[in-house]
Amino acid sequence: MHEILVILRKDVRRLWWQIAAMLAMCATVGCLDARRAAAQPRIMESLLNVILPLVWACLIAQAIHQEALVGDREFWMTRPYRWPRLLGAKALFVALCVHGPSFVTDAAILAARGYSLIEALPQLLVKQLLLAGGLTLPAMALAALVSNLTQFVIGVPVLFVTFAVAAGFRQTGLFAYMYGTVAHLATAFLGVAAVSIVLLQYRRRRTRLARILAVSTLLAVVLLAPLVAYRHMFALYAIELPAADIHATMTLGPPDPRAVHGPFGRRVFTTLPFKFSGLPESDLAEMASVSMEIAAAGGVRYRYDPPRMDFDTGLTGIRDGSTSLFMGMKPAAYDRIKDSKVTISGTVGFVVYELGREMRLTVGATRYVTGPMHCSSSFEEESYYGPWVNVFCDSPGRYGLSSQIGLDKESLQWLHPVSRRMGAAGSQAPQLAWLSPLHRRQESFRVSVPPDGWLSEAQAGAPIVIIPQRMIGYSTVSFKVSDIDLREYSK
Amino acid sequence: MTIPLRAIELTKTFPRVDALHSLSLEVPEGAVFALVGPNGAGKTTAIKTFLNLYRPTAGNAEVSGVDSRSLAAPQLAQIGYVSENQKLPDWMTAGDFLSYCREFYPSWSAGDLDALVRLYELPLDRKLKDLSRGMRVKAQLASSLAYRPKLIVLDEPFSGLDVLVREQLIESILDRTPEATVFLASHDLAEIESFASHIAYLNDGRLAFAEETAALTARFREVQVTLDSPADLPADLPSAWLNPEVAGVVIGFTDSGYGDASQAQIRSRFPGAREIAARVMTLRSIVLALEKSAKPGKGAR
Repeated sequence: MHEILVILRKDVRRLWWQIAAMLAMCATVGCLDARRAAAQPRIMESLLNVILPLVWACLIAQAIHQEALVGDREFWMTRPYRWPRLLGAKALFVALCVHGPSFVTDAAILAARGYSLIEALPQLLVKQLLLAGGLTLPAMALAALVSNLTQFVIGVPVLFVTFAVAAGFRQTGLFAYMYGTVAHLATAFLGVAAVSIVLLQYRRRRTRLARILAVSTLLAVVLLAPLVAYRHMFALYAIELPAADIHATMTLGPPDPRAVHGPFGRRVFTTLPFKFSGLPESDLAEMASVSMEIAAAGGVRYRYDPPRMDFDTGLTGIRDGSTSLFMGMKPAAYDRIKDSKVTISGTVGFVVYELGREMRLTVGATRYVTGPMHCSSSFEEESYYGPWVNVFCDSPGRYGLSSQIGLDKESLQWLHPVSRRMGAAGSQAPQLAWLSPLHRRQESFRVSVPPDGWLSEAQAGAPIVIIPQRMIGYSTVSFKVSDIDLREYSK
Repeated sequence: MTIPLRAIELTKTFPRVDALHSLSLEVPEGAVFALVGPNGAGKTTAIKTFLNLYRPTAGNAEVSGVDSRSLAAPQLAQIGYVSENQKLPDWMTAGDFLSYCREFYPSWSAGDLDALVRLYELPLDRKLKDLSRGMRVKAQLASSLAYRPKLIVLDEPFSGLDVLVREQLIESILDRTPEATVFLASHDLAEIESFASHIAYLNDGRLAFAEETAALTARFREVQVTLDSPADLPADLPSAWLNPEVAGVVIGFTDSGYGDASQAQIRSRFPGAREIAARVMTLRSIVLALEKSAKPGKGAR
């Protein structure tokens, strides 16, 4: 331990002003985040959310390069350093100078916003794990493979692109990567690869071998990640968050004359109405994705299982236990199978939400309503578009992203299930300020324009209903329907 | 008795350079062993391979009986290494650097360090990056001698230093012998001639010879035979006679195996010799003679 502390003390002494600057940034992020009662961060906070991780990465690289592992002229290489202690010193540096400030900042933000740190501890620790797998360990590995900061900075975009590819930005959006199972797996994969490289370099200093391992890992991720089919991704989702009690079945219903069908543009649309059974009544389920195959006579098979997409497909939400699955096929493809009976099989993945205790908030109230998430509302008369009611919620968990916010007025039924995707329905996921420990959600209700007609109730202090909604699991259900005449569902 | 350094058929190749070819040598305990050779001969490669900074391509390098590839902290704690081109933590003051190094050596002697600092007149409060080259070497040397290493490895430590500093450093290193073994690489033959007990000559990655300095200088003589009349060189001269030349009535060569019987041997080859002069050679002239007689080969690092 003595050697570890000696090396650590030396590194801290050497990098004190960088550490001080980084701590100042953490404090600024913390202040801005704690004071923000809006989903959208201001430019300074957004900027710091990009700069601070880069500063952390560069700080790690500089600490590693105090005893650079590449080259043959470093003075320490002929001194009696013990590699576990050297690595221990660097790991301790990363823990104290990156994870420590990050954790303390998060804790301070949560405390400032009135959350219990004990209750939020699991989320805070998970975030540190993600930070380790996605940032600090890869940064350590990259720094262990290069000899100076310039080379390191050149390598950072390579790492970022790899991570983005691994996290599946193709499907979920580049900045949504922190919030998916694939992102967690990618983080774990990169973290394990990074640990292997770091151990190899510290133990053996086999730079060429370690670089080959690193490049192979990056290539494997870049080449293989986009090939992972949807059905496999949903299998992964189901493993991470199993909705164990759900054993749903899907049965095909009669053609729905109101559905989209027939030729449209360069596609012929077919809509298959399905009925679900076995879904939980108390919780909420939403369709998330589908993979499917159409088998026709003569061995003709069309598949929708990204990255293979012989046709387009999509799902509507589940309403009263029903959903619609539509397919858009090229006319030539449709013509090949329309005259024969087809078999359609596939897997649907859906997300299950747990509904929490209903909370009520008076329009215009600025006080927080406590619970799994904190909410406030404000009334803005001076808005460019006229008067608005803003409802703002935050939560250390994921409640804020999917909860229902609405006005308690039977005639209007303001219960919005809000999409988890960024930007939908006025909600904001924390992607723009991904360092934040809070998930924020903001809904704005325009109150002055008919036909809503609830302006007077709102001004009179009408209660807003907030139903916390938390994703608790994924599940899949397979279906297979035979002897289908597509023409019946396409006309 | 453990051999401080041993190379067995040691070969090191780089992508475009063959640096060492089957180098075999042993450095005896307590010796001041100089590895000499021109720039690019492979001296630094040999040292870096011994210290596990390079991995051997073939063969073995051993330090105190331990394979260089397995060299770890316990062995490194007994080695003091000073190189002219080592990267030091330049942001540290000399004093901080010495204090930092102290933490890694159980046998570190504060008294020894004080003596070295006084001897070298090291400015402890100045940053390493602000020190002159000589002072930097002194700081390195102080940090490598204060724990009384059993093996001192020096890679061109004195090049570019003035004579006084050089003498001062050499003296402090020799003070550590014979308890410590010194292994020194240099291309400056005159520099090491005065104090090296053993000399090995490396050229193009190949070892030309390795032996005690006294034995080496004893067996080399620059011979000049003056004849009565001009004559051609005999065809079958001994192989130990290097670079034979004729200039009128004078025949000159380097005898690399000079001994008690040499005078008689020369007389038998040149019966008409009027005068035979055999002069002691400097290390520099020995090496020049060897290089001249050697066949040209490929370059090395």
